[in-house]
Amino acid sequence: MSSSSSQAGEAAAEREAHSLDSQEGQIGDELRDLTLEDRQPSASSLSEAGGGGDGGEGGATAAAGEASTLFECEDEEEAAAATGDLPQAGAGTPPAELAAALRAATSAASEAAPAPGEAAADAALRHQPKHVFVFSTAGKPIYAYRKDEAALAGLMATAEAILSVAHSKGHTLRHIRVGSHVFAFLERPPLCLVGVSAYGEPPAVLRMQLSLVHGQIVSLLTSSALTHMFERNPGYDARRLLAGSEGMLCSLIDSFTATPAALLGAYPSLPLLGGVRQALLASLAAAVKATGAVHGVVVAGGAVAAACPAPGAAPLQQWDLLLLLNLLSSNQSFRHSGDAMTPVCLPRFNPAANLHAYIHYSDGATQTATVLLCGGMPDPGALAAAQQRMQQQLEAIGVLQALISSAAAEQHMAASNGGSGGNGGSSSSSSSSSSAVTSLLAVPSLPTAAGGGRFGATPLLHFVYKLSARQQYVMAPFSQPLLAGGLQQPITVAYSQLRAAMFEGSAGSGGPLQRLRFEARPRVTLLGAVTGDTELYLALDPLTDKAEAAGVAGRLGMWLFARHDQLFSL
Amino acid sequence: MGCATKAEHAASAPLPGVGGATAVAGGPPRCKLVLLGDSGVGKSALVQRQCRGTFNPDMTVTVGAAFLAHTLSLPSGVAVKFEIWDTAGQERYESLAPLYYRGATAAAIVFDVSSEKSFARAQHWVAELQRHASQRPLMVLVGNKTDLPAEERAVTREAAAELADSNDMLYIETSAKTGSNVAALFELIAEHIAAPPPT
Repeated sequence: MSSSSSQAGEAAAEREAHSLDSQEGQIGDELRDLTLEDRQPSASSLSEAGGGGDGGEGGATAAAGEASTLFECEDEEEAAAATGDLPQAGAGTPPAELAAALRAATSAASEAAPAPGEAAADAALRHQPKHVFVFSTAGKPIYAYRKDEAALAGLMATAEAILSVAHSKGHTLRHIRVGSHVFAFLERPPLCLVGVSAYGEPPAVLRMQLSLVHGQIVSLLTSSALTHMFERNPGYDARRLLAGSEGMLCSLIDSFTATPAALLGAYPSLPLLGGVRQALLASLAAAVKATGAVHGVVVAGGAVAAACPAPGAAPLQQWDLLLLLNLLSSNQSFRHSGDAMTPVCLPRFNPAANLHAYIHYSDGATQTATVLLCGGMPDPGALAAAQQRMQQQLEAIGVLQALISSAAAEQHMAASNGGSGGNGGSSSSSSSSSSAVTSLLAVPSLPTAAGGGRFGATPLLHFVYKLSARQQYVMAPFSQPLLAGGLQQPITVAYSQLRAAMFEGSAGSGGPLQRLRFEARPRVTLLGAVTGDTELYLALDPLTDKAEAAGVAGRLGMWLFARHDQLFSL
Repeated sequence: MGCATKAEHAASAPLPGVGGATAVAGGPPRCKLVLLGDSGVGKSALVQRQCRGTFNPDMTVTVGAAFLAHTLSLPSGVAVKFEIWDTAGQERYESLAPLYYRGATAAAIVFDVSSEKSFARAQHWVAELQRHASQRPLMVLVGNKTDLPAEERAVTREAAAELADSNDMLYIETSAKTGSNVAALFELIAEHIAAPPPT
């Protein structure tokens, strides 16, 4: 093993050889790991962390970084088990030799890359708080988020060199910290993904995001096609195959700091009143059965209203549903055509093969659509007929109308999700948001007892509620004052830090775990409350004290708990 | 603009595999039409123009394939029921194309008259469909975007007509933006489907 070769190409080749034999068969492993299903309440079930430790977002990150190594271990639990003897390099305790290697790599990269490239990399880091790029194990650029690869060449070369040095020492690099930026690495041969963020997301959350980006690429190409492609020709330029899907990856990455889906590891559920969901499910199940589909999903307003597997099959995992939701929300073309069929690979369902998704929009404005996923080449006529039958049934009993009006009520939520990141993909929906219908979970429409009220009259600003067993979540729509204050992204990131801090001890299953955590920050006060099967995170007025916050959380939690049948697909 | 359809030559040419395939007794003739061609040549725009009468300059990229049903009544009184498969032009969908064109009655291979590259892709599609000669659909070569100024034109009508001639295809030039010849394209296909020329 030649130590820290200064030629990036040589190092990359070496790394490739290494990664191929040590990292096989780990596709998307950690996706599941962060769902934390084996949560064991510890003896000290109610421990509160004072505001002091997390005074500011900037100051908090360093501490959170140290703490997150435990979280990381949990995240890599399965990978570690699979690779056994392979030493793991985390950020918390970099071995001296690795630190030296990193220094060598950085100098190697700066030798290799001309000074202008370096300057460009610096500029890229300064001007954009978030970067995601993907390259092949042979070092070919494949995708860069909101930037062309040329502008990121220096940064990419540095990342590649660092990775290759870590490999040459037999380590797996997960993340490094450079000033206020965190570099997260995810290797999924034949791809390497690097995420750089200055927003302050915990490294494990960044790696989760990379995992979803990887999933989306697999959903476009299938993992078997990816592997074959690079086996045949390691220098293959995969950009051609991803042409036209930059918008899809961009909207996915935008969503990471606008919705809590990726950080919670759950998919959004559409709140529906009364028997609407049951009726929807019954008629969807009939359509699935009639068409021989493997799954049926009804989505509306950017959330899942109903999901139904074929009889006897397992339900779709939340990661696949999130990719499916992104496929729908980022592709306008489905809304304009009558019926659409598209091949899609759902990596958790089967990473090696495509399914055919039949997509029909019942209502474009609220993005209400039926998706039937089929194996093999389905008969579009039969699918369209089954869909039509289903739609007629639902219309006759008023369920479709109820679904569309519920989706319209949640609409401004979806619209704000799309808009906050400056996403060019989905902005057509905002026009139809009628102010007459309000979301069931909007803070002003909650009962006062549950913490509801007009902005300013209640300390509650926003909340997210997850039902862990079903991997679903609901949240209050981000209200206008929050959006105007530019708080959507900071609140979302703050939730991820809060959650990471609460779950950091759960790595060794049975380790300490905070059930309740209070953080007073300059712009917002946070409270997290976790029970056996639910997680509730609140963003409150910065002046809220501990007792008041806990009171709101308790009452809101009870109110939500009593409404699980409306909020979630059970 | 206003180019005449070059259907005359094809009317006399044999069109293997088309005759009788769709003449279902009783019902109106059905036609599975698949649109193929490079990304961005205007396949979806042609379909939108024909089925909805609209043109959206900011059309988004098609993902997979869109499926539309459209019924066209010919002056002769015959109605042809189109099942239109509007496929995505990106390279990664190429391996899936056979799923869409298998069993097709007609295939419209679309290129952009201002793009050499799209014409090269059209030639590729022609060759691909010719390989399955036994179930060869009725093939139409479509040069789209004739609304562009003449100096932007990169593919001459002669070159396109020659490609069409040598492959027993029909050739027509259209503009989805102005609507020029779009209806003619679909009527041309419908006429051949409703009354296949005697072989």
